[in-house]
Amino acid sequence: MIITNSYLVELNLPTISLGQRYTFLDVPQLRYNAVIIDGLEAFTADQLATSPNNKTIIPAAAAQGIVITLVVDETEEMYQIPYYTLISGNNAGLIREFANKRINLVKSYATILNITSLTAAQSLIFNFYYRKQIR
Amino acid sequence: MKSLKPVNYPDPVIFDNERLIFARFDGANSPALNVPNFFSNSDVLTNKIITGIDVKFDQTESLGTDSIQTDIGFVGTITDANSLRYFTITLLGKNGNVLLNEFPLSNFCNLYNSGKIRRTSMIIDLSKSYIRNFGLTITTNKFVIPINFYYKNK
Repeated sequence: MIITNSYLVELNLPTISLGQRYTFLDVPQLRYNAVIIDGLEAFTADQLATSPNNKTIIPAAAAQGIVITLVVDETEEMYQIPYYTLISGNNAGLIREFANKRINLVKSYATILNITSLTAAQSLIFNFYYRKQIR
Repeated sequence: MKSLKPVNYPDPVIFDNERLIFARFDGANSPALNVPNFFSNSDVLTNKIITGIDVKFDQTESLGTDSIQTDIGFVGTITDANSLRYFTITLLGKNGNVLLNEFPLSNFCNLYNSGKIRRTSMIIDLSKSYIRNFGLTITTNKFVIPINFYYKNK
């Protein structure tokens, strides 16, 4: 992947509850009619200890208990991607790439499948690689 | 039998030119927490297309050998790859737009990425770009973070 733009997105988990969905907040720079998402990467505290909002990032052991669902327009086109899979260190350093996806972030969400190793107020953190749409 | 067409694997980074930039922190206990720490150099990368970025560090026991010790006149470098976890880098373009927003610095360290160097295609304004420290307490004055920029001319 050739990086042109990236945006770090934080998804805070104020409380930890099994099966709960945590929806992404609106990120104006990534609004789905403005950019095309080329790739997505996730991190644990092994790669980024603290978020820019001074929240602790989830530990590596918790990554296997979280899945991500990404919505394109109104459809859950990428349903429950394991968080673990999105960590490039687990994939020989490669970044997961998408083919021309216009992701609707405010309808996308994370789901907790296992609360082991998670603590309230920790954050998930993602790097979205994107390019601006040419109109 | 039809022969298979050979596969050509491209070099992960085009090594046209390379420039090692030291992000220099010469105040006491710097880089300060949370605030932007701007680069003090360099004009060399102005109007160049950055094709790859690679962050170095001093040494580590588990991940590899020493990359680089320090800059002339400085006494320390980030001491291990683990410390990179506390830093992010924000790179701005020529017109002030943010290209990379709070990019985790460890993600530019090829020892975190199985030796792969992150490929980029952007023209940056280093004087407006900055590094932020979100928790590493520095006790060494005159501290540097070495960053390799690979670039080509426009």
